[in-house]
Amino acid sequence: MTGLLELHDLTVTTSTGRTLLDRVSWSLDAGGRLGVVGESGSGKSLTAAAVLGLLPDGMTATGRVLLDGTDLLTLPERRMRSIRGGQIAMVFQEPLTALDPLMTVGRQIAGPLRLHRGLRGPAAVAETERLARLVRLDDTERILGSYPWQLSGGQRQRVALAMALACEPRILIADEPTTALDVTVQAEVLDLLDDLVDRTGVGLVFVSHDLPVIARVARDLAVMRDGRVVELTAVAEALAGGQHPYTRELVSAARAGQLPRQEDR
Amino acid sequence: MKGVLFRVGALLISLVLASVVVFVVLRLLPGDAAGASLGVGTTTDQLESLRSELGTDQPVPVQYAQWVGDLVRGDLGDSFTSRQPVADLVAAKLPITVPLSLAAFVLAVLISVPLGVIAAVQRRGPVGVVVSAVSQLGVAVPVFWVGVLLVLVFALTLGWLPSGGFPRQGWDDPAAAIRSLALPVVTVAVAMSAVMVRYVRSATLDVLDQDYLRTARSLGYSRWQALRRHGLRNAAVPVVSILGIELATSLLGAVVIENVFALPGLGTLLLTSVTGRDLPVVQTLVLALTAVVLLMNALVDMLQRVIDPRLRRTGVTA
Repeated sequence: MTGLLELHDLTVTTSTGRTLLDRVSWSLDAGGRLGVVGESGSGKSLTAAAVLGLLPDGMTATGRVLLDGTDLLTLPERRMRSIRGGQIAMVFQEPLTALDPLMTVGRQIAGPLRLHRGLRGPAAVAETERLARLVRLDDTERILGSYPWQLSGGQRQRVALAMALACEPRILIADEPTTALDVTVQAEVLDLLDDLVDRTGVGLVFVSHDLPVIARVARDLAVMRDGRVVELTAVAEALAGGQHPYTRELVSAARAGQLPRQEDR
Repeated sequence: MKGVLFRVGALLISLVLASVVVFVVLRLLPGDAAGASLGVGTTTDQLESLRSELGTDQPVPVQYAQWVGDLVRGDLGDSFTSRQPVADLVAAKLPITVPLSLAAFVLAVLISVPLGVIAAVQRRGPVGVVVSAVSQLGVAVPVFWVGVLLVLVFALTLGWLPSGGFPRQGWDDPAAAIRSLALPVVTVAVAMSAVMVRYVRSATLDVLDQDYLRTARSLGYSRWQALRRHGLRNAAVPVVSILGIELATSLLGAVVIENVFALPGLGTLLLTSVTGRDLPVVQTLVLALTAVVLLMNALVDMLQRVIDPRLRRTGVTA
């Protein structure tokens, strides 16, 4: 297989020798849409952190994380920094805390533009406004001059999306991006994400504990449990009844309107 | 604007309350100026006549009204012992105490901010551990002991700097003045830094765990870039709040340390005035110190509003 981003036996261990991720393997094609589902503690977010080389101190990753054939795990930190934000960007669960409370969102969006694309002054302002419109932030001027805590949850997550997409990355990792939002806002953000992937051609890795949410935006599915991928399948096939008992458990729980051991709410 | 008016009002009320407390507490202390200046073996008549001359035979509320009335007109009164105007006595000491405490404060900020940030970033590294350990030690050691130690090393052993005193010509001989203030300044600054490093370190540690730093890292900023862009300003909010208290500490530190280094500053004046029950001088000095602390805290509040826009949206003070 020749995916844009390929994980081969990605394993993460702590300094005390505990294995947190156990030979995780999946692949994302250019413009692909991969959902990663699993309960809290299954290693979904840790996988994302390992891909970006942002594991907490004391954890080490082995295996291979190939971006266009280049192993990110062996890249020096300096080159990893140009990959982060430039090639692979990320959106986090809680947009209020993920944004700096003391900086206007306009300046926050402009940050990566300057860092990766060298844009500043009027060019940066124009590009920031374009990004704001891209993520459907109406009333652009007011919002860009606001602080994160002056915005609604949905607006904040759009700002986070604009920051992530600022440097036209090829891969967007969204880690529970709608979990902290109201249900109606959740639907809006999912629609937007769906639309952005279509329009920009960015490859999407959508991490969530919520299978129905994943089903709205993802095509392929990696089911994770206890640090392992237990099944790799298509979302449609999983919904029709997956191979692995845990996948079937997730599907039937989703049908019943709830998930097993929903402890991360 | 409303916030500023509120602040100024609160400041005035605090000052009035402070003046009452200072005045009453000093009059509750045993012993009086007349007794202290005349010594043992004086007759009651002599005491009574001196008390009436100084005005200390009046009821306390009358004395207070007299004092505040004079204060408002800019008259700080005369010293009981030397009979000189308090304003002149204080003004003569300012050129020592003010440079001493301001320089100590600035030096302490220059030492503690970088060290605190490094200690936080390298929290598990050798630098972080050493900085934390040394600051623990610094907090435990009394300020005058640091002074004595510095005198031992830099004045008595190495002979680089004077062990105490201030040049008779004062600031007309700037080099000598700076040399005599060097050790006292470092002493106060070291003692203050020990405390401030811990504040800076814990504020930075808080910020390092914040999600927005993770966001910045995920966008390609290095650890230091992320800290500079988002961390320092956020960490500054709690640190600034203690700066007012720390400036007061530097003044108090100066008062203590002037005695170690035999500097004729406000601290020395305060001590001799307390011993001589020279109430006009003592109450002026204590009230002035209180005013400086209150004023600093008001300024710090406003500075925080400048740094943190969240504090501006509500009418309440931080």
